[in-house]
This record gives sequence, structure tokens and C-alpha cells, in this order.
Amino acid sequence: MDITITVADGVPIYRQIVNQIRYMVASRLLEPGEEIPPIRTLALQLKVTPNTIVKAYDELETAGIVRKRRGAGTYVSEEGASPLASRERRRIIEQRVDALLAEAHQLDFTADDVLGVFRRRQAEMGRKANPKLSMEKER
Amino acid sequence: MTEHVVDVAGLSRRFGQKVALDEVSFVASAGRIYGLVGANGAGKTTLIKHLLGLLRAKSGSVRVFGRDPVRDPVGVLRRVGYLSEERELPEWMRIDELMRYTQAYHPSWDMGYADDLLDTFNLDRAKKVKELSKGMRAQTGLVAAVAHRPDLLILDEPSTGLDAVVRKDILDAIIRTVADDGRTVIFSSHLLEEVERMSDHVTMIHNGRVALEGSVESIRDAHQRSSVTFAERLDEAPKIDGALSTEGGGRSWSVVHNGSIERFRQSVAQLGGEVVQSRDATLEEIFIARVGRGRLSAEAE
Amino acid sequence: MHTPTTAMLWELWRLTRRGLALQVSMSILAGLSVLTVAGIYGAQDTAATLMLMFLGLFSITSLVSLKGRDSRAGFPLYLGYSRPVHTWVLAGVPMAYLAVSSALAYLIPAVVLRTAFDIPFPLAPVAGVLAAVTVVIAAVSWWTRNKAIQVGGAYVVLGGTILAYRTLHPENLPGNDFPPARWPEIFAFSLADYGFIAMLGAAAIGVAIVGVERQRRGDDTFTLRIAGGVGRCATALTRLVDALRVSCPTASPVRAQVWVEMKRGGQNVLAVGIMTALAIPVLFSLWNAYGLGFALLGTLLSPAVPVLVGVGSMLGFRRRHGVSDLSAFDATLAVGTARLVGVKLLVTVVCIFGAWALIATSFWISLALEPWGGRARPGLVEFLGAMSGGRLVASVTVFVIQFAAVVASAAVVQTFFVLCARRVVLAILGVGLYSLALALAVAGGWAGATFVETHAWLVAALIPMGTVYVFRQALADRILTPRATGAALVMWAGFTAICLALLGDSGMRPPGVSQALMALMASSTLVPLAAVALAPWSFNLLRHR
Repeated sequence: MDITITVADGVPIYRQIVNQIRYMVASRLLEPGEEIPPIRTLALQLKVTPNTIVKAYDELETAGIVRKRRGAGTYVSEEGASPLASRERRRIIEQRVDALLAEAHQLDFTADDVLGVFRRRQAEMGRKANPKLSMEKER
Repeated sequence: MTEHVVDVAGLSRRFGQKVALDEVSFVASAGRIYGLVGANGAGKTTLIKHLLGLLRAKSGSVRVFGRDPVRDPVGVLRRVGYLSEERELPEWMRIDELMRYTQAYHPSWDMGYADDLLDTFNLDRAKKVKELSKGMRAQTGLVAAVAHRPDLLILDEPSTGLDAVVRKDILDAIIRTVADDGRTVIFSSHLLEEVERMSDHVTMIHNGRVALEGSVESIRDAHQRSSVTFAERLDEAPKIDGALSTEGGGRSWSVVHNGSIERFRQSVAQLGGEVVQSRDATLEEIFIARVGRGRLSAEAE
Repeated sequence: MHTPTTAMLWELWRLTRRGLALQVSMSILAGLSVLTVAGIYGAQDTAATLMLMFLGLFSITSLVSLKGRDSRAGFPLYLGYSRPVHTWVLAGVPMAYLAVSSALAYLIPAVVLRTAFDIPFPLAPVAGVLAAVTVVIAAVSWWTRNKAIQVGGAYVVLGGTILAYRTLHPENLPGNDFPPARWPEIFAFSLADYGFIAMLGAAAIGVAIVGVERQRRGDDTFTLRIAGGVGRCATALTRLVDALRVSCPTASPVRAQVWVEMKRGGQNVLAVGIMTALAIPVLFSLWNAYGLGFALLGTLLSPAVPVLVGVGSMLGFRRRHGVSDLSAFDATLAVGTARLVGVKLLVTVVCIFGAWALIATSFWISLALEPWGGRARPGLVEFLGAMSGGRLVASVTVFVIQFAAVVASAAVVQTFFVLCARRVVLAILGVGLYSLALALAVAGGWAGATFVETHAWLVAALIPMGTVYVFRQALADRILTPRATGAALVMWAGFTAICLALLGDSGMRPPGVSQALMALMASSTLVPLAAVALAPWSFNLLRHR
């Protein structure tokens, strides 16, 4: 599982793990029913204390994103995967928009100005051959 | 609640005039990783030496597994693995001899584990300790410290002066110790990023006192790093409520602060400024703010 | 410090000044007291001769203060390699400094004693010889980092020089007749003699410079070539040793520690024992052939060699930055302090006795070579035969226990030396000076028998008190278990019984022995018992500071 941890930006490590797994589930990089790495493996891979992974997995389980099977590992939830995924996708986009709005406010753009820029950029991209919107992975 | 693995209470120690430890209390419970941070000479090693019984508690008490490491060295040291900063090992011994020798003191020694580690590290068993490079010496010391699967692993600045590969080996050993059987690790380090990733609990020692302690999250939650912009240029650092360190110049300053965020914002506003951006401070920023020269009045909580 | 040379001289002065001051003051003190006491007993001539030898040997040791800072072999001031200085300065300046300082270390006490006692201690001749010898020894130990070559070289050079000098000046042989009255005549050096000394010194400095230059450039080629030649033999030898390698027992900590102590110190003691045992026949034949007093002295001193080697390294202190200390590795071994120390002492004592057995055997065989026409062996047989078997066993037992107690006491002193070196030095110095003053007072008739007896009573009272104190401490700190204490007491009772039996057997209670002395003797039987607690207690102080 490709997770990157950054200590420099002030986001707690367990939250970075939660966010990245949520993103992977939402974007179907992790399929429903797929097993995610055991705590020890992920801790060794990321070089973080195992208790952080425990905390992240606990939070993911509370949110219904993963399900622990006693003595048999942790899996991405089957049930409700699609409504969850759509809700999750909306949540991620909303976060992006929030950040964009904050930035716009800082630079003295109104919401309408931003919308204008948004439309124009979309049009420019559409003119290119393949309008694939590459979405940066969220931490 | 179960018994603590380590319980240090009111420990003070001075060497001549210098106060090395001043009323230090430190508790560690099973299955967690404890990071000790502090400037050089702050008292980390002195604390660790007390845990091993290398220093006798002159005032205050030290209990490891509920025992006094001075009066019951066998009971304590048998269950402890220790890797010192200097990675002191008998120079004349060969690696295989060192392994057998250490095994004799630890009934729980797992030769298979030791062999696995030696193979992983690619260590030549016929080599003498004095022929080893710095990294190989650290790896050898690490195997000797973990192969009896100690209940408590104590590492005094294990990463200092080592290359990335050996540092990774050491971190792996720490993670395995905790992940496999819920044992306890105490390690001191200058690499604060490493401490931030690896510890469940951080204790910051400054001038022999515990300056700060808690889980990594609680410490980071309590400390923010904010960018502040003022309407006018300031010639000297503004005195803001709750600020631990203030750096910058002119109109924009970056401040590491703790305490109430509201009060901080009000204080900035009173000085004619605005908080542009705030986020949780990293351990390194907190450390420098608390311990470094840039700190204002760290004593004011 | 305007030039590199003055800077280097300053560094050398800072490194050696304490040692030099100690050396000069000790020499003067020892000379004054020994010659005064000897004067009272009318043995000043002999004492003066011994003093001259002592001063000579002692002043050469000023080298040690430079060498002892670092365990690194070869040129000791290797940090200077990176400085912008020519090698001839780098090696030449310390050489010259050592020559001058060793000469001064002799000259100052010699001048003081000359004026104080009107004994014609030779000045320039001996100072010159000492300077040259110092430079030669320094050159031999600096010119290569190979220790074996250093030691061998030292013997060859010194032996060669002495032989050359003897051939050149047979009339100056110091022989047995060496009274101060003849010194001016013996030490009347000609210009040619001084020329010889100067040449020797210059040659040594040259050799040292060449050697240091090689080390500075990282090619100790001579050593490398030797190593290449020896290498093949060494590989074969290593294979042999590997085949003989006893692997560390893992069944119990005690066994593992015995193994370690054997490897760390015990086998050296035995090796030295073998070497000494091999040297004795050589010394005997030399003695036989040339009547050399040195050979006799060497034979008599040979039992001391394994003791010095064994006792010197028994606690396994690690030397770093010029300071000895218990290594954290040893301190964190999961074993009780009493056991840790006990095994160290036991291995040392057993190995020393092993070495002595070898030396004694060699001595017995070598007696065939003694120059008295075969009288020594029967004499020895007769002496031993006069004792009953039981008495012999008892004597040996008492000796073994007393020797073990001495070794344990040495361990205690070493431990305290690591803990608080300055205080130990002061205490030893204080006791030494006080005893000296006491001896002087008695010899000069200023102190009566009661004064001495008071001291005997005092010490006789202090020993039991100290013993009780140490045992209480050791028990309170759980260093000794009550069971171990009981066992020690039982053994001590046995020891005392044997001592008493021996005493009674020999009918030793001469009427001249005072009550105070009897009390002192009785109380000193406690020393082995005290050592049982003292050694682990002191080591525990070091382990848990």
C-alpha cells in the first residue's frame, strides 16, 4: 500500500494514514473486501510506532470503512461501500474547494471570480485531446 | 491498573555543582514506545543510566518491573536490552562469541532470532568487535540487545552518527519489539522526526527537568505554529501572549505558541497584526522553541 | 606562541608537567628519607648506590606520561600529522624535549641530594646517558606501530648499546664494588664518551623521524613487509588457534564469565608464566657463566611477573581518553556484583598459582645449572622435608588465602582509584608519609615503644570495626546474601584455626612480642574475611554510582 508520511506539515501521522486509506477506498484503489496490511507490516513499512497504525485502523473501523476479522486481518468493508464511496468522494472534493476558497479570499477573489476562472480553465483543458483531470492524491 | 514497567518518581541527581536531574518523574507502561528528547547534556543519559542501575538514585525512587535496579540487578537487567550511545562492546570478542556470551546471561535468548538478524545485517560472525565499522558495531550491539526478546528495550541515541540503512535496522528492531509481543521501548534521540514517527509518548528534558511530556498528538495539539502579519514593520520581535518563540522580521513573523488560540489571536490583534495561517507545530519546532535560544519566556506556561 | 616549535613545546609541557613535578618531588622525597634513615643505621653507601639506580630508572619513565594518554601504538602525537609542520620538527621537537626533561628529572634530585648529604652523585655523565637512553627508547617505540617490533627493538638496541659500551670501556664496569667514593672515578667520561652518547642520540632521533614520516604518510612499510612475511605463519597459527578455540559456555552466567576472564586476562597470566619459566634456565646459565647479579635478581623477581600482569588487568577496566572505567557492557550484565567480582578474582588467583607452578617447576629443573655445585637442590629438599605433611598443607592453605586476600585488596584499591583517584593517591601518600615519619621517629629515638604500641592497638581495633561495617553495608545493599556471609564466616573460622595451629605448632610466642603486637596479629587474621565483603562492596559502588 503506497502511503507517504510527512512530519513537516503538522497533520498527525495517524490522520495522514486515515486520510490516505479513505482516499484509496473512495477512488477504488482499494476494492471492497480487499485486505489491508497487518499493523506490524505497515508500521515497519512506514517506520512509525505500531500504536499509531492501531489508532488509524480503529478510526477507520469506527467510520465503517474497514472491518476487522478476529485473528484474520483487516478488510475494506463490503456493505455500504458504494454510498460510502460517494459520500467520501464528495467530502474530498469539498475539502479541496474549501482550500481553494480560503486561498481566493486571501488573494481578494470573490466566489464569482473563482467560478469564472474555473469555467475558463475547464474550457481550455477541454480543447486538448484528452481531458483527463489528474487529481492529486490527498494526504 | 497494571504495574508500570518503569516508574521513576522525584529523581534528582547532581554531579558536583551541575544539576543533572531535578525532580524528574517518568512512567512507562507496557506496549508503548517512549521517546526522550533534549539538548546535549540535558540529562537523558543520566535518566537512562538510573534505569539500568548504573547510577544509584540519590533522592527519589527508580523502579523497573517494580524492582530497584541497584538492589536487584539480576532481576532487572535480565529482562532489559540496552544499546548505549557509544555501543560499548568487548573489543576483543568475536561476534559469535559475543552472542554466546550474552546468551549465558539471558535464559530467554533466542539464538534463531539472533542468527536471523546477523544474516539480515550480513555480519561476519568470525570478525572481532574491534574490526567492525561504526554501523556494523551498532548492528552487533542491537542484536545483543534484542535477541533475548527483552521486556524493556532501552536505546540511548541509537541513531547518532549512523547511515540511513543502519538507522532503518534499528527502527525495525524497535517496531518489532513493540508490535510482536507488546514489549516496551525507551529511546532517546536527537532526530526529532524519528521521535515523532516512532514514539507514542514523548518526554522532553531540559536542564535536568521534564520540560514537556505527553503523547505526540497531545503535545502537537497544544502547540501551534502561526504566520502573523503586521500592518507596520517591526524592528524587534513582538511580545505575543502564549508565544514560545518568534522568528522573522519586518511585517511577517512566524510564531510557535501554546495555550488558548483565542487569546493568541486577540494578543496579535492588539499589537496591530493578523494571523494569516495556523497549524500544529512539529516536534522539532516545539523543541527549538522550548529549548533553543529563540525562546522568549518558556517558564511562563 | 609565535612559532610551531614553541606551540609544540607548550603542548609537551602541558602533557608532561604533572608527571615531571610528581617524579622530581617523589625522587627528592624518597632520596632524602631513604638516605636519612640509612645514615642512622650506617648504611648510607649501599642506600646511595640503590638511590642512583632508582633515580636513573625513574627518570626514563618520564616517557610514560606522554605515552599513557593514548593506547594507540606508534608516534603518540599523531594529531600533529595534519598540522603544517615538517616531520623532522614534529618528531624532533618532542625527542629533544624528552631528552632534556629526562636529564632534568635526574639532575634536580641529584643536585639536591648532593648538597644535602655530600654524596658525589654524578651529574653530566649520568644525565647524558639518561637523555640518550630516553631518546633511544622513544625512537624504538615511535618508529613503528607494530608492538612486537617495538619490544624486540628495545631489547636489541639497549642490549647492543650496553654491550658496545662494555667493550669500549671495560674499566667502567660497575660490578659489585660500586661505592659512592668510586663514582667520580667510574663516571669520569671523556669527550669521546660524550661524543658516543651524542651520536647515539642523534641516530635515534634520525630513526624516529624516518619512522614518523612513514606513519604520517600512512605507510608503515617495514611493518607491512614484516606483517606480510609473518602473515602466512599467522594464518596457519590462527587456524590452529581456531581449532583450539574453546567456545563460550552458555549454560550459566558464571561459566560464561569464567571463559571471558580467562580470555581477557587469565590466559595472559599463564602465557607470561610460560615465558618466565622459559627464561629462568637462560638466566641460570648466564648466572653460571658470568656470575651476573642481574640474573639472580631476575630469577628472584620472576614470581612477581604473573602477579603484576594478573593483578593489573583483573577487573577488566576499559581505558578511554586516558581514564580507566568499568564499561557499560560489563556493568549491565545480568549478574550480581558479588558473583561478578568473585569470578574475576578467582580466575586471577588461580591463574597466578598456575603460572607459579610452571615457574617453580622450571626453577627446580634449572637448579641443575646453579653455580654452587649442586648444593641448592638437596638443601631445598631438606628444608621442605623438615616440615610434616600436615604442616606443609596448612602453610600452603594459609598462604593461598592470604594471597587471595592481597589480590582482593588490590582490587579494592583499583576500584576506589577509578571512583576517586585523587583521594586514593592522597590517602596512600598520607599513610606512606606518616609511616615514614613514624619510622624516622623510632629510628631517631624520638618515639618510645608505647607510642608505637598505641598505633598497633589502634589498627588492631580498626580492622574488626571496619570488617563489621563493610559486612553490614554489603548485607544491607543485598550484595551478599546471609548464606554467603555464613559460608565466609565458617571458612574464616577454619582459616583462623589453621593459623593458630601453625602458630602453636611452631611454639611461636617469643617473650619479646608485646601484647599490642599480638593483638594486631590476631586482628589481622580478619583481613581475608573483610576482603570477602570489601571487594564486592567497593565494586558495587562503582557499578551503581
